Amino acid sequence: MTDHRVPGSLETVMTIAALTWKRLARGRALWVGVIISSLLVPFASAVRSSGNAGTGEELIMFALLTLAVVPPMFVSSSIGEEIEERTTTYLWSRPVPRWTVLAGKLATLVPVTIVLAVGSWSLAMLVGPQRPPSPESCLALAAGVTAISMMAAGIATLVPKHGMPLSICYMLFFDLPIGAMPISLSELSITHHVYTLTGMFRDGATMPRSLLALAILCAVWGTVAIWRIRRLEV
Amino acid sequence: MTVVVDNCSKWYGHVLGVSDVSWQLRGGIVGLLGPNGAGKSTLIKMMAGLLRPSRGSLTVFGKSPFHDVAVRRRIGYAPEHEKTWDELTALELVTVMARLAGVAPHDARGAAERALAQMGMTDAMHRRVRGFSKGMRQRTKLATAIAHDPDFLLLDEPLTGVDPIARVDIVERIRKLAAAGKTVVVSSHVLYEIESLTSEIVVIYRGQVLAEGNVYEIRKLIDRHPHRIRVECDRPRDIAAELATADHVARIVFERGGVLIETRDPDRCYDALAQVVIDRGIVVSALSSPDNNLGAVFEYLTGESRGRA
Amino acid sequence: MSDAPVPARPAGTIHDLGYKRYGGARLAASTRWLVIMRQQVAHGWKTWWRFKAALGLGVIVTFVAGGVMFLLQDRAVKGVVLPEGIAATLTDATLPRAMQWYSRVAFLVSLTIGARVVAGDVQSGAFTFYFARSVRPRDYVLGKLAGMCALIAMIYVGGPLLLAIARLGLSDSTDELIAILPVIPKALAMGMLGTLAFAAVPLGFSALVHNPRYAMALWATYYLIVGGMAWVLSRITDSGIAALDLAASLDRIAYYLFDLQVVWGRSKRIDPALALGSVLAHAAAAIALVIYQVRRAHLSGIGGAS
Repeated sequence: MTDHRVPGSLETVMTIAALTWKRLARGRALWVGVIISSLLVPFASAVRSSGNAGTGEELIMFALLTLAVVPPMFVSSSIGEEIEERTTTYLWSRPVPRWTVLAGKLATLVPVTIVLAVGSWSLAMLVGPQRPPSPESCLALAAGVTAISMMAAGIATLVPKHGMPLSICYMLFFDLPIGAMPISLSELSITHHVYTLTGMFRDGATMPRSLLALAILCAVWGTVAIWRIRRLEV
Repeated sequence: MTVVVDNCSKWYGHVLGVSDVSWQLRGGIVGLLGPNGAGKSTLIKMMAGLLRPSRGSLTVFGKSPFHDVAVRRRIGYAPEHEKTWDELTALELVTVMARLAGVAPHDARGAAERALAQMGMTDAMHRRVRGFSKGMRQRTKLATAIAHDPDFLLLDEPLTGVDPIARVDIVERIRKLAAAGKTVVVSSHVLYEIESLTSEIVVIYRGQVLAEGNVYEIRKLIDRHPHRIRVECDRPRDIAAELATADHVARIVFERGGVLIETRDPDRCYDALAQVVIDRGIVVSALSSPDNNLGAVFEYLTGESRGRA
Repeated sequence: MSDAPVPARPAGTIHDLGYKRYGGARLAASTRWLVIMRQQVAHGWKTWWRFKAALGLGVIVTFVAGGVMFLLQDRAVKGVVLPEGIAATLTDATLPRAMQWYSRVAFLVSLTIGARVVAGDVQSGAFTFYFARSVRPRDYVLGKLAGMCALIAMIYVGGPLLLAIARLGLSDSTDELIAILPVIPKALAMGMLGTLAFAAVPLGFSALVHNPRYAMALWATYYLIVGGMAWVLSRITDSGIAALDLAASLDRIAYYLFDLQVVWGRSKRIDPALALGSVLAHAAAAIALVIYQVRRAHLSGIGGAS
């Protein structure tokens, strides 16, 4: 043994990110994600062919619904299944802080999901209403993906085996319903803030406030994930 | 001291993994022996920093491996489960593990290649792990454990599912690692696997350390069960006649082509036996001690423990 | 000291004294599915997050709906009317309206258990375990389907049945009680239909791909997204494609069964007969898919991932 060097945090995050990308690119999850995200395009095309191009409001609704499925599929399974299948033993027995493992995975999965979400949304807008998507809507989707990914990471560390179904159900049973409520509880809803950020619906909430709210939600879920992952034993 | 375990206990909810274990490890190869569920993997995982003790303390090179990230740089761990990232090639997997263990990026690939070569995986290193046999998976796992050149190796059941030829090969490679100055802890519930690797053992049963040390020394300490000595010779009755009156002989059983002597004092019995053979000119074709092995020691220890329970 | 003569033994004989062939009664092959069903129910019951959490939600839905039915019984409901155009009260409408909440809870069970059944068995190599025994593909399919039905029925049949009984308890007179007695068979019928849908369709998705998480994602996508898209397209094109929306179809059947006309809402666009046909077709297609995939796996001797 010649060198007792411990890898730096950034180096570890980059290594885990590269590992995650390699696994994602070689597995089928990416293709399943592509299929689910791209459903928006034939839908937009079908709406268009019926002579009703719409304004994109229905499209954004379905884009948000795909966000309830795709980020949990990528993030929850990447974190939860690794804990459940104990492949994390390889990572956690290395001289790296556990949060870097989480950060490395998110560093790959969040951008990939953003590309899928924004890409299919843009394509659907071009095919359906035949106009480019607004920058606000793209930013809203990107922020939504980030927040939902953080939520999925938090749930996956809390309940590794059922991270994905519980994340989907969190969106379905909690986030979407409270987002539709005309009371301050809707501030806890990711989808509510994404709607606001798109600029398509004016309900009193402002964009900076929604961005801040999403940042806080990300921080809360991120803290949950880091707190939990530091205590987890496999 | 590589490892110091001090009154260490670990619970999984209401299930006891390890109970009040105190143990110290200096170096060499040590076999962690026990039946399934005895607590071997729990102890190994605590040493690898994957679990923290519920009570007591466990240090590796003077540091807690669960809390101290840096000390894990000196540990190489091969888990007992087979799951790895099947989408990667063996080389990619070992390279990533080496990088995460602190090997500089430009050296990681070389370190991985060397580790895989050490495990006899050079030809298969560019193949994906998905298609590997159990033996190849075990070798790859071992390569991930040694790629960063650790001082302390924790190998949890490294020979499970490996065919006999590969087993001999892996045993030889583990021995070489120990010969190179590494401290190696190998767990197994298969006695002859441990026996082929080392005579230094820790017997763990129901979460407690039943015995530790050299297997022959431990055997000597078990008074309840007399030692058996089997002599295959041309005139077993002559040996029986001579030893029948000796106070250290508990029982003599005639077998086909020989005699089985049970004694409470093996040293005196061997002396007496040699005297008889010389005096009477008996032709001895084989001399063996069927229970002077790990299997018997293990059986006696766990049997006594069961009896106490 | 022993000097007993050693009996001569032929070289190379194995005396396996530990094994004796089971000589007791064996159950008929036709009952194997029952074993698989019990195992499926026991597996679902094992941890909090698989089934018990959903059962808890089901109980909450029942209590809340029962409370609404009791406390706000005379309040009029928006969105649905009685056949003559009379405004429906919460007493009449709570039970059918609660079905959409039972659907959501059943969807949760379908995600945590249903959509991973076949895919999980293929991935873990359990098919080898099943088919190494005298289990036929139909025993497997029947057992898994019955197991899922048993689990979902606890929510989807049990809850509505309790609400139907509560509805009977709220009747003002014996005549009214007799008049509304059909709510019991209607609740049972609705519950069984929903149970079949939420047991069979996710099972079909779990047979579609050999990875539980993809199966889960595809089922969730179909239920949440494709169904919603079908409803929007139906609204635009004025076609019956909304029947592809399982949740809306079940809603529509519930309202129809309980003699309520939908004034507005997602299920308004669906003809009740079409909704029933859609639910049954979904279930039939899913069961056919499971049978096909399991038979294929059985014939090819699939062993699952190593």
